[in-house]
Amino acid sequence: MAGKPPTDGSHPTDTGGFNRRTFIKSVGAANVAASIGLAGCLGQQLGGGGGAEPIKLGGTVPETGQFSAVAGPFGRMYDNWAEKLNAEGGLSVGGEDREVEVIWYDGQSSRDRNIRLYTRLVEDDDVDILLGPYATPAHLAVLPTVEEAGVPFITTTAGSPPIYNQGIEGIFSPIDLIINWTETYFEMVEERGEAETIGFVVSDQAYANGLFQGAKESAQNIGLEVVNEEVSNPGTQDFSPIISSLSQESPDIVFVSSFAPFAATFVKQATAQELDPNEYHVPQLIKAFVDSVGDDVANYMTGEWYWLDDLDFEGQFGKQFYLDVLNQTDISNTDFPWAAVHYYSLEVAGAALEEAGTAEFDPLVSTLNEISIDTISGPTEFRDFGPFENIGSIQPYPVQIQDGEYKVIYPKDIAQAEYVYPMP
Amino acid sequence: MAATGLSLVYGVTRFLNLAHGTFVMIGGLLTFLMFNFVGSEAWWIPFALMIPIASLMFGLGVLVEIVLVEPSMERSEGSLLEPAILITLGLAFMLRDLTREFVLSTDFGISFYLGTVGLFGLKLEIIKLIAMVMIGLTAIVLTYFLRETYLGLAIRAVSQNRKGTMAVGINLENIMRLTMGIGSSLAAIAGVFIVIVTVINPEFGLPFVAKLVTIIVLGGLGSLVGTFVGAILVGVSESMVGFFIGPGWSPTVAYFILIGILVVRPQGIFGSDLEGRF
Repeated sequence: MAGKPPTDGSHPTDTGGFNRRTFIKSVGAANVAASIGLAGCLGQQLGGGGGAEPIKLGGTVPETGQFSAVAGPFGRMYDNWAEKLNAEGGLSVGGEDREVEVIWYDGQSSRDRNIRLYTRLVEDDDVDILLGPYATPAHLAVLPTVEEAGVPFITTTAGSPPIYNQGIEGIFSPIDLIINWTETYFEMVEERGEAETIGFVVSDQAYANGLFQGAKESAQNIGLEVVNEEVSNPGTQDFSPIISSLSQESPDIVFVSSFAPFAATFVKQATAQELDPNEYHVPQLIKAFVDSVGDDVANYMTGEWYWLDDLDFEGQFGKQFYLDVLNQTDISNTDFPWAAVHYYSLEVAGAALEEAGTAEFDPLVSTLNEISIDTISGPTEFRDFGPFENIGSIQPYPVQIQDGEYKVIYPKDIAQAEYVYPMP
Repeated sequence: MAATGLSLVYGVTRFLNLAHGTFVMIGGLLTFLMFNFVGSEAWWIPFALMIPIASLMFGLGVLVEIVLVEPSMERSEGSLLEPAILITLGLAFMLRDLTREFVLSTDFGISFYLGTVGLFGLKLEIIKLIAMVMIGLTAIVLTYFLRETYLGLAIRAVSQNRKGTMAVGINLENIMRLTMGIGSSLAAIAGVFIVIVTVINPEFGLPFVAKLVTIIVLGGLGSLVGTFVGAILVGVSESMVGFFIGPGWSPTVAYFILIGILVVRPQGIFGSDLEGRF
């Protein structure tokens, strides 16, 4: 998998303190300027203004509504990223430093509102690059707008296949398809070789179903017997029938494919009803989940995270840059682990603009198709396979809570702790 | 319990409080904050917390009644629905946003487990049994209060004939404040149980109040007995449907029952044409 870090222990961005962006700013700009030609042409290609106008990125954030609890502050994160980047000189695009502006609106977790806002971003705000909204349903809703707009669209927290097989040019996902997300986790389970059965508890919504389909296939591929497939409404408050069914089959691993509130409610009730599998695997193992079920109950549960502080990838702007942005936004990774995925879209946009030297659609898309981009979670490059186009290669890392600390437990070359199975 | 509070407030004030679900959320939030502040997981902590939380919410209910409800009371009873919806919906949004901005924007619940007991071969969660007992006690205490005490009788009188109660010297404003306070306290106690068995966030209130309104319409608007029966009917139906058809259908069943009942009995199960129903 291209999304995994190098196995020789080196960092893909390890250039002796001279990261990709520094390199591009000092050397690449001259090459780009030479390849494009006259400075006058540059101004025209960048949308006029002779370099004075900022590059405009645009998107929505669910600052209010049902997704605000998991993604509400990401708009402020965009603002802080832009402010910090501009303070350091902005992006080096076509030989000159350009400021960056992120125009974002509150999508209110509403499909219809997102459609209106993306139309506004394209028609009124005239953005150069669109950033994805939050989660798959909103991405699917704005696809027709994106298709008409002719503006590159870098998706965020959306790995569902239907977004990427519609033949729409200019859509790029920094992360892998959701059906592949659990591959690394099941590699680890196979390597351990102790689990024999697995039961799935699934919230009936796009994200969870996509994750479940991929996980089920991966589980079967490594020889696990799937003994439960319990798909339930996202608003389920009483899990007694599901817990009863799981108690009868007693799977070694209970895999909860859902957002955190569903998972927490299920695990609370399963714990209260004394369901005791060898392992709970909860991909959304966020702090709110842990606070809800309790530290003792969550201890040694496994999950999947895109980024942890202990990962040593520098990314496009530097690891410390990301940490500063998080701090300025006053959000923690444990509360908002999806922040990293939204941040990838900024890294991808920045890298593409600097590499292409222009905000024009065609050169940007060509550049994105060719380059490998360093992110805070490792390199990503855009691949086509089957009907799917421009799929990035970043996958989440299996993590486990061990005595209150989140630890990456696989792949072994970057693991910070041994995988503990069964849960003590 | 939450539906009882909503029904009581509506029955007396004729003011449909759409912020009631948000009051439940705030009760849960206060439980979460206090539980973590206390830092002890002793079995009695959440139940002890009900006292200060219900008291605080009583105060909030009275404040809301004075500031937002009373100014509308000059209108006739029949024209209260529109201002009630607008005012309490606005209040719900405001409380939600204030919570999210200044207190907590993430999901929250408390880690509190009492285990199970075996009964006729079934495993029953102790916390749910306690909740059932609490609901039963609430019903008994509330019924006694409304039927046997002066204040309770005054509340019933207001619900049946507002002008008449004023004529006999009952202080209408105080009765309404008291009712709003009691209703808000019941919402808060429901919130305590909810954060024990599930996980909620600041957005919880409005979807939840939709279910509460369904229950009280099903039972008959303003009827406490109807509310209890409606809540039990919805709860049992959700569990049965969850067990035999699938838990995914549980949240929908209340609305199917509501439609069915309204077709055959538009005033709800225990609804009547009488002004007062307590």
